[in-house]
Amino acid sequence: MNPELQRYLWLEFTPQRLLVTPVLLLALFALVHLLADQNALRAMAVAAYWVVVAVGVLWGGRLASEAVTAEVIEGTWDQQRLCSLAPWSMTWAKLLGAPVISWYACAPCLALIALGARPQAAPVDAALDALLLAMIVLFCHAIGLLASLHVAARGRVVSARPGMLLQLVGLACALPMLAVAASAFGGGWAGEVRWFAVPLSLPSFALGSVAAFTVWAVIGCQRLMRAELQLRNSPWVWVAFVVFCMVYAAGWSWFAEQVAALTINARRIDATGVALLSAHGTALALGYLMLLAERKDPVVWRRGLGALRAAHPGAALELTPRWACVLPLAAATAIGAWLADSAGWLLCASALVFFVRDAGLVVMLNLGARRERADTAAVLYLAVLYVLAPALVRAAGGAAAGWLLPAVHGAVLPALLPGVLQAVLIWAVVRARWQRQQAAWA
Amino acid sequence: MNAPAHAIVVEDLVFDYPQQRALHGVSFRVARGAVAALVGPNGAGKTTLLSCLAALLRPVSGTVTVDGVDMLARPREGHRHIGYLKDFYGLYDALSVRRILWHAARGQGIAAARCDEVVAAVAADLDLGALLQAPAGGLSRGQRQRLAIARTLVHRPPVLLLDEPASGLDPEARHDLALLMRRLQAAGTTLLVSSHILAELAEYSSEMLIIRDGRLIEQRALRGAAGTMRLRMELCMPADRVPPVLAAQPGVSDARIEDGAVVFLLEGAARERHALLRVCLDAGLAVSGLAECDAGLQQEYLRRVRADAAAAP
Repeated sequence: MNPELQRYLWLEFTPQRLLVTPVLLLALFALVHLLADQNALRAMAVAAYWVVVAVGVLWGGRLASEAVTAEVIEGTWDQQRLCSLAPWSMTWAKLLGAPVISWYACAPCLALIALGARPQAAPVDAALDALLLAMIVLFCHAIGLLASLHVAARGRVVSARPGMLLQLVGLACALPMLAVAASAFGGGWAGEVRWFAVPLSLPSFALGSVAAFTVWAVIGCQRLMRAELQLRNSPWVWVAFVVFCMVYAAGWSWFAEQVAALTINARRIDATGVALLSAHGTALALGYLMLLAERKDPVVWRRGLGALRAAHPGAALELTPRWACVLPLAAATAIGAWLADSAGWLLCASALVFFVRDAGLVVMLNLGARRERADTAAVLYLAVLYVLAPALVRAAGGAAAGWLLPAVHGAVLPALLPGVLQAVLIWAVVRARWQRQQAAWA
Repeated sequence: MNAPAHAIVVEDLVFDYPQQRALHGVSFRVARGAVAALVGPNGAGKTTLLSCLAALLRPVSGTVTVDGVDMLARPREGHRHIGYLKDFYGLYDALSVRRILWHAARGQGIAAARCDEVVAAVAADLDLGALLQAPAGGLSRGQRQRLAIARTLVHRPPVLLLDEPASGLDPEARHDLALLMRRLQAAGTTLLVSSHILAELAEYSSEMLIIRDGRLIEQRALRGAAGTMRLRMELCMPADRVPPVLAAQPGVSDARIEDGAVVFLLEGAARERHALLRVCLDAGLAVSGLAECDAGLQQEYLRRVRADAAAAP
């Protein structure tokens, strides 16, 4: 057996827990059974659903999110990093092991759901209900572990609880999945979705989507684990993930056909335009996520620039900031929209320019003296730039677009120039700050 | 394939923290089977250096080779060749000593079938045999330290990196630790030990690396390899340079002037010492004394650090 998983079994499966957990579940289901007016099995299945949400998604997610950070705080993480287990072995052992007690509680609940959620449904469909829910639980655990690894990688572990950002993202992703899973109880399972205009059955699509994102989350864990174990990562896996998300988001372009009001400058955006806009927005959203999540201190830049100067393209590629990897992808969608003569191309180009400006702002703050709060300050400044400042300008009777927000329409030069000028200015400040810092360092 | 002559080879190692450069082009080699004392003031970069050697930190540049393995290119393979005890380590308090050692052994790729045997052996080495069933949380400070060392040794690595291994140990436990170091060295293990307790390091160290402000300012032998002795030759008049006749003798190495006397390493035993003395007297050297000298690690360290501080601008 994997020694790391074995360790979790030793620590988590105490005799008390092994005994108390089934007793509590039995008591709960007995109570529900006694209180149910009719169809007690279905009532128990609904209760089991909420147990899975509480114990599997929330508590198990929390346990997974402490898998690495708790070890850092207790001083055992470095000893683990010194073992010779492969990153993948370490990843799956932690993914399953840290929340193993929540699986112990969830397993009978999932069985109950498979048996009782839809007594009239075919056994395969009933099993799919449970499988979907189990997959959502695994997804949440993977996001928790991802958050834990991410915080450890940033080297600022002050509490076993990892940063809120990734956990909120994980929860935000899990909620619609849970809603879909819950809809199974109301018979909504039989619905249909249209993805890239292809009609797909809701169960297949939901299960496929959750499985795909779970696989990506686990791959993310493995990549971060590799980095923790001092193995190098190329950026291609991240690029592949961004492309996957862009394609996934673009698949919803059928929506444009349903919403006739989706127009820019009186031009209706067709399905292709919406697909490209969706893909573009997804790439930039992931870029912003990585912009705030990644390390951006001078050491990282020094390593990257050192690799470039030493003409080690492989090393330089590995050290490329992941937020920067979305730039060519976002640029490709903007060019695609332009080639397709879509009304959304200017918005794509303008948003990309503003992203470059914002990246400069975040990097500039991270090169400052108080780096530990740089990302929080960056979020605050971006909120001021995108929300407060435009609102003030509008309240004063001015037009915010162009200088403060990405332009949606208009002539190309006036639409892009303000963003380009801001981006050039802020990157010039970044360069000056970097050079000053390097001079002081030398 | 023959094992490389040097168990640890570090070339031009540079490591940066965001606020400062912690290691400035550190280079050194530690011979196989040596016990090297890594000494220096707080904040000198000792722990950072050990962490780089253990592939827990990635340097900006430079190379680290341990037991022939490039630790930056193949860190996971390298971990099978080293044991690293950090100054601040953790133990799984809820697990028994046996389970902690079993987990460490399996983590280093030791087959499950061999684990009981391996655990029993390392527990016996560290005098933990009677505590195998005890939970780590209930151990005393000294017992915890011994358990941490046992965990580091469980896969019998050829190279051991120890950061303040005697910290928190009582005098008896420190003595036992010194005996363990000697046993490990006798078994061919290479040790790099960082400690503030210089008198204790002197008991078992064969060489010393002094690090200050992230720079290696000296590496020197405290005692030679087996069959080598450190001698101190007093002259009637204080010497200001190593006499050429002495430096030219076969078997003489690392000769230097210390407090007016000549200190050097000599390969051999009493016969070679006698022969050397005869040559020096025949050559007209005014020798007034020749005696084996304990390196006196603390004096060596203080002398070198003070000299470095005086030379600093």
